[in-house]
Formats: sequence, C-alpha cells, structure tokens
Amino acid sequence: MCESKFKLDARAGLFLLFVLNFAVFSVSSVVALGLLLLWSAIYGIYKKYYTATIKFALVYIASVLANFFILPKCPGVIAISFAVLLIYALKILPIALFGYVFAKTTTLQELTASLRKIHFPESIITGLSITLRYFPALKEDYYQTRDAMKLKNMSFIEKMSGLVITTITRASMNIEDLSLAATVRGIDNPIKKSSMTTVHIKKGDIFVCLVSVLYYFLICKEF
Amino acid sequence: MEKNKKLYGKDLITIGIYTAIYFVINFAFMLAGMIPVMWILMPALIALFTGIPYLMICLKVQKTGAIFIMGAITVLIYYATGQFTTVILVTFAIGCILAEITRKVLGYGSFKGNTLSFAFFSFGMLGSPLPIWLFKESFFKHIAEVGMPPEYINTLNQFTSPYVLASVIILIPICSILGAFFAKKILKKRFSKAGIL
Repeated sequence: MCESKFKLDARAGLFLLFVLNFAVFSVSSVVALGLLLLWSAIYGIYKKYYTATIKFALVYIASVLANFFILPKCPGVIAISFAVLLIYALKILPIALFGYVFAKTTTLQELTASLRKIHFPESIITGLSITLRYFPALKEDYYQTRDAMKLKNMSFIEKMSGLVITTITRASMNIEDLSLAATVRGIDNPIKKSSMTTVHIKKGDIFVCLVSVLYYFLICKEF
Repeated sequence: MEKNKKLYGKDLITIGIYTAIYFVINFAFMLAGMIPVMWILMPALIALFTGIPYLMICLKVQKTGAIFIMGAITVLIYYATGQFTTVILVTFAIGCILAEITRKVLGYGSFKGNTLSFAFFSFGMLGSPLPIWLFKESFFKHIAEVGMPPEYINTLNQFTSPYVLASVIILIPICSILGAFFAKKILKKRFSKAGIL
C-alpha cells in the first residue's frame, strides 16, 4: 500500500473514533449517517484504501436500499429482525471504515508508543502487544491442527475437542517459552520502557481533529 | 507478600495469550451476529463458549488486575478497529470492575468466585446490542423516516421490548455458569493429568 505524506497520530485517531461514536449515535437520518460515512471515506481515499472505501460505501448503499425497498415488502418476522440489524449496520459503517483505515495505517509500535505517551498503564500496553503478536501464531496453530485432523475421520465434537486441546496446550508451552525469553530481555525491568518509534502530535493532527469535530458537530446540529 | 501481588512479565504474557484466544472466539460470534437472533443472543453465546480462556487466566494469574487487563485489551482492539461503540466501553468497564471485586472478595482460587466473576465479565458484551434499547427513540425515528407502516413499527416495538432485554440479561449469567462448568470439566479431564493446570 502506497503511503500518503500525512500520517494521523494514533492518539488523534483514537480521539476521532471516540467523537465519531458520539456523532453516529446522536443522529438518526440516513443523510446524516451518509455524510459521516463520507468523511470516513475521504480519510480512506486520502490513505489510498480505495477498494475498502468502495466496499464500505456499497454496503451502505445496499443497506439503505434494503431498508427502503426490500424490508417493507418482507414478511413480518424477517423484516423486524433484519430491520434492527440493518439500522445498526448503517450506524456502525462510518465508525468501522474509519477504524479499518486507522488500524491498517497504524503500526503496533506506533500504537504502543502513543499509548505510553498518554500514560496508559504499562501492563495493558504489554498485554496488548502480546495479544496482537499472538494472532498469527494462533492462526498457524489452527491450520496445523486442521490439517492433522483432516487425515483422520473425526466427528465434529472430536474435532472441536482436538482444537481446544491443541490450542490450550500450545498456548501453555508458548507462555513458558515467551516468559523465559522476555525475562532475559528485561520485561520485568522496572525502568521506563523506551521505543524505537517516536510519535508526536503535529499541527496537521490538530487541524484534522478540529475540522473533523466541527464537521461532526454541524451534522449533529443540522440533523 | 506484597511482592507476589504485582503482575510480572509471565503474568502479562499469560493474560495476553489467553486474551488472544478469548478474542478469536468472541470475534467468531460477532461475525455470527449477522444473523439477527444470534446478535441479540451474542453476549450469552460468547459466555457459553469462552469459559476456558477465562478460567485459564483465573487459574494462572491469581492476582488483582488480570481480568481488567483482559477486558481492556479486548476493548482496545475492537475500539481501534471501529467495531465497538462507546456503550460497550462502559459496559465492559463495569463488568471488569465487578469481576475483579468478586475475585478479590470470594478468593482467587475459588471456583464459585471465578464463575461469578465470569458472569459479571460476560455482561460486558451486553453493550453490543444495548444501543437498540438505549437509543430506541433514535432507532424508531429512523425507521419512521424510512417509511415503514405503523403496524410494522408496533411489532418492532414489541421485538425490542424491555422483556427481550430482561431475557438477555437473565440468559447471560445462566450461560456463564454453564460455560464455566463446561470449561472446568474439560480442563480437569484433559489438562490436569498433562500438568498444564
């Protein structure tokens, strides 16, 4: 993915996600939600995530069309159950698009460095970095277990049981190995942790935050 | 004694890894929430199937803060990817605090205490469908704008009645207890002999 010149600071991104949440749940009109999605789409396009932006926009349009034209013609139970979900989807899409682009353009190092800057507890930051780094290992473990189980004629319950046993056993083994490695590298060292990545709030971050907050405020006021 | 209460590197690694497992199961049910009924029942279903990673954390890290860190990591990942609302942040915070208090009061090694704390923790996910009831007016205003007939809105009003919310609230602790017993049985049967517990 080609990087744009301006990169939103992780703290600014988290702040905007927070404000966007409030904005989304304080408006109810399709137009207002569409305008909020448009702002997230501008961010997506600026960061060159064209495909993702188009997909989110298409889901929004499909949800609006389903709300207006398909649901009123559906039988009662189906219409009722899907209406709630579709409205919720409309509300969550602007946040989800912003969050998607933010997560894709923010590295784990930048996120942890930013969380350190806002004096987030070190224990949560360490736990978060371990969790995020463990997902690929978990995926790998799953594929290995799945391939091994394919060779045997196992029932669904046996497969689930096998998956649980291998996942927990490997997790326990990994905890031991990682703990030893992390202790050697100084995880328990009480000295303040440093980071290779330097983060700082730029004028651009402040400008984007101010313009976005103003935009969200105007939408909430108008609709 | 004071020294043992502190969370060390190994504790944080344990929390981090089991939270990753918890998160994967949680996320699977979030995706299953595309089916409307599943979405309403999602907090209870997650409680039913996430007992193992939760109890593993409780067993391995018998210290204050473990569950709070677990909840904070889950919320942070969901929040940074834009899949969580502020409502769920609040419910998770309340759930984690109550879970921590329960563990502290009833004892970190107590199964009853851990089960009860799991029930409180599971309430955190209630924040996902809760906006339907919290922002009911906004939802119905939206539906009316879409042009739905009044009969339809009346039926929908019944579907999102406080009784449905009450049912979900009752179902969460029931599923949490079942999930904890299920987890205990599996852990005892499969892992105690292997020396993992």
